[in-house]
Amino acid sequence: MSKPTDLVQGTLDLLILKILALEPMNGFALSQRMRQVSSGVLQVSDGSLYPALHKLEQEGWIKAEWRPSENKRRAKFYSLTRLGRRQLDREAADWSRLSAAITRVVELEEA
Amino acid sequence: MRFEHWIYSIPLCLRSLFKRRRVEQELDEELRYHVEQKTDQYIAKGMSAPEARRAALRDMDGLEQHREECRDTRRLNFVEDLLKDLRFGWRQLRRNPGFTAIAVLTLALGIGANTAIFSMVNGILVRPMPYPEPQKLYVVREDLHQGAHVYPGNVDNGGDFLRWRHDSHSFEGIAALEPQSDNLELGDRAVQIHGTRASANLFSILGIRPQLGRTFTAEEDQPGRSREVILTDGLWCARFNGDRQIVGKTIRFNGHDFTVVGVLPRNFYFPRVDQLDAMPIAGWTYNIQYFVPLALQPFESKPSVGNMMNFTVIARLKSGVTKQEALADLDAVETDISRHDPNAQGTFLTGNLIPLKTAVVGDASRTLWILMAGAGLVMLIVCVNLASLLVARSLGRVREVAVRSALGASRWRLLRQFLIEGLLLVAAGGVLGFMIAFDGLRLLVDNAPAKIPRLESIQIDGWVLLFNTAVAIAAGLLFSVLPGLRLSRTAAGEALKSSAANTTAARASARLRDLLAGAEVALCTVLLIGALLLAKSLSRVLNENRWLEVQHGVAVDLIAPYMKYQRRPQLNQLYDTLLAKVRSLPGVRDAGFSSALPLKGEMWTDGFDFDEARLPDQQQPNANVRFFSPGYFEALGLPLVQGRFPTDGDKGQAEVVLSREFAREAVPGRNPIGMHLRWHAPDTGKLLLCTVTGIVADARAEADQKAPFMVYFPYWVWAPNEVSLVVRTAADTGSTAAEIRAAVHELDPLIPIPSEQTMQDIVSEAVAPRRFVVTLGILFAGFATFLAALGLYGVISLSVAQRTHEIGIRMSLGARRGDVLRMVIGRGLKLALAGLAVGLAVGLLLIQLISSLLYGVSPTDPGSFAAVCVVLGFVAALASYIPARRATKVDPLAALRYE
Repeated sequence: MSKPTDLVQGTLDLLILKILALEPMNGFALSQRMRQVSSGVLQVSDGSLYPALHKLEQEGWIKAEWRPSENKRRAKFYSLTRLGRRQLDREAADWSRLSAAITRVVELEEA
Repeated sequence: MRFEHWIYSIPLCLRSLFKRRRVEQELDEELRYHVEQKTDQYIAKGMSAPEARRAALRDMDGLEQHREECRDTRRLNFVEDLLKDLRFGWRQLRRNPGFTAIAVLTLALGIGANTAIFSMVNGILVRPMPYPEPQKLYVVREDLHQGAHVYPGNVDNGGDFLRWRHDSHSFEGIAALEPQSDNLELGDRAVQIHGTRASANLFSILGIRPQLGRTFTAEEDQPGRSREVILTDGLWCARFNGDRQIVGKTIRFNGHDFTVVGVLPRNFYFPRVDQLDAMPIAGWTYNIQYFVPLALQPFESKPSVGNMMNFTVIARLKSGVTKQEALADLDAVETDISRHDPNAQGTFLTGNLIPLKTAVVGDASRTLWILMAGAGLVMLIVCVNLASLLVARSLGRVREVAVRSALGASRWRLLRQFLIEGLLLVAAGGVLGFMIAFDGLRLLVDNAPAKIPRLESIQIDGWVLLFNTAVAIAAGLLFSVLPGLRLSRTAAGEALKSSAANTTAARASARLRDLLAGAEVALCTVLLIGALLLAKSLSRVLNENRWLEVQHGVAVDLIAPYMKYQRRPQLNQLYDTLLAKVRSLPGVRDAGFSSALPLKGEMWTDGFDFDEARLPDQQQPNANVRFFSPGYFEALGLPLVQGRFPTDGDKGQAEVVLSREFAREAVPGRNPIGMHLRWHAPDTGKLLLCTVTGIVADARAEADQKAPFMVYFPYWVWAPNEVSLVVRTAADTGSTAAEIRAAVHELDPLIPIPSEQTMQDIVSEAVAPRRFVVTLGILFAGFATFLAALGLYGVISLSVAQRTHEIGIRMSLGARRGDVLRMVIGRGLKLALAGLAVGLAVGLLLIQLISSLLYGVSPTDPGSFAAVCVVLGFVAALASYIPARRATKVDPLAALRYE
């Protein structure tokens, strides 16, 4: 699976889960939102979003349903499952630990 | 956590599997929605429509690739490929209907045979006895230590049984039984029924409750009682119309009234008489129909070493007690018994515990395992044959495989294609095989000899189904992996460059096919040797009993009711009148009776010695006691060896006839004629000294066992109530039997006639188990030979087809048809010989396993081995002659133009 090179391995799942935790949305809206909240820093190609979504669905972390979108067209909306909520908590905690550790290393004073 | 995961993922997988199109469409729609939204966005930013769409697609960064990724995560591709492979496999099989038919049919026959035989093994050997905790049930027997050679039987003494019950602590319960037959009176006629005396606690030991009424109480089991009866469901339904008010009613047998206290449940199982006895009593394949209390008489209750051993004992071990502990417990009691028996003279008995199932199954297990092994060998040959066919077929597919692997098919994918084709074949073969097994099993059970126990517990159950499936899948893997592996290793470039026949792959596969054909011949050799040796044994056994007057002999069993014919004068008069009547029937040459016929097993053995040569009790040779009338030996065809037979003129004389081997064993080196045999009459206990008047030839009690020692008393010495009348007739045996029946019932309509048989029937019945194995063995071997011939034929045909070019050159250089014929047939024979050599070597080793079933034939019988070589040589020559003839028809010009 091709992953955006500028994204730390495994963080795409975390981002998707987090954004879907806020509100259920379809793939297109998700790609817009991701760019928006990270102010364009996180570059995820539109294409690689979908395999990731399908994988999360297969894992049982998110579930999908077809609903009319704001422009009245049918779109596939993803939302978090109970299992996904637990996974998000776990991954978020992991991320905080990891980033805090990296920050500490990076901010070491040079002698 | 895992479980919750499945709640989501399993429905998704199923959806991918069964609603493939729908899932595809949704994926399309989802991606299209994204692209269109993005396009609209770009248009809103001022791009032209085509420009906007291009930009949107660029953002997707390879739409098709991502679509595939999505499909992969959904396992859609896997399902898709599987379906493609299935469809492709199906087309392949349909394109070769001949191959497919042979494959499915041979598989079906192999799987069917294995499933049917396994059903028997499962039902007879594996299924537990239908009692609670059956593994704790044992048959107790007594072994006489110093006398095993003269005292083979070891059912138990009644007194010893009472001592075990009283003094041992290892058992939850011990029960004794003694089977008996009785005449059940039904108004104006009587029928023979079979039942057993049984301790009151037998049913609690077995864990059986009656469907009506109760079982026996301890009081009813006291000496002198025994006036109650418990019926089995079968007897209750057959003779009493399932009368639900039967409990408390009185029924009569042998002139005594018995009160019915209970009826056993419909599914109650009890071993047959012949399965519980320690001695083989071939004729007694009766089911027990009723139970009466054992109520041991005082004369039956005296512990003794080696006397009055008449009872079969069944015991249930206490929980936590091992067999060894129980045996030690029994032996402690036995030692005490022999210490207190004045007749023991230093001899003693040891207890022997035999699991109930083992006792019931007896030596049938050996036969069944051998049949199972035979069926297994057949299955192996079926697989080898299919592997060889598939390798041949795969040769035609070298190009296909090469193209596919050049186009990027993985090795696993190619292998999977072969596996799927194999599994398609075994699926068809397995289902068909199961149907064959279903019918075959019925055929097997219907034709199985009565001696084989527990036939009623044979059925197709879950284990049989599982076995059937497992055999099919194992076979599929076995025969499809080999050609698949071989082919998927093919170097694509090479295969594409040159023609199929010249590649190294083709040469390697030819070698493999030679190997497989050789293996088939080898396996087939083993089966043929086994079948032939067994068949030869059967003919030897039949030969040993050839003296019996089978063509013109009729045997009619009859039972003089005990109450009416209690005294000897009455019995003697009955038999006198009867014999006179039967001898006057048209066509009757000789007529006589005996208490038991040859080939009907051993019964009633006693130790004997002579007034002139006294021996201590334990050293007296044991002989079967028989009672006969004049005319019996003549009707049977058993010749006189020495002296004379008692005749009607000797009535009242205490005389006796001995069998040849008994005379030899009892008074070695002396002429027994005129000596006096000591015998205690069973009813009075009076000592009789019977003068030996003649020696008669030996007659077997079991078709394939040495004849037991026999002592024949004329019926005026002691008359039994149950006899078998034997008649040699010039008339038709069927009509003679009917006339005898009429004559008997004219004398007394209350005399039951349980069976009428020709002597031919008796011989057939005695060799039935052997014939059963031989029939199946020959079927297996015949099928195996057919498969081996098929395998050889396939190999040779293919090699002829591949060498058409070469044969054409040879012929154009002057080779004659005979040369070509010799060359091709020679190749076939060479293959067969190699297989034969291996098969003979393996056969020599494996035959040791069935040596216990062989009779009068050495396991290395050179004649049989030679016959197998001749048969297989002939088959191999025939199998290669057909393609060889085709080779000689090759037109050299056409062959050279070929390619």
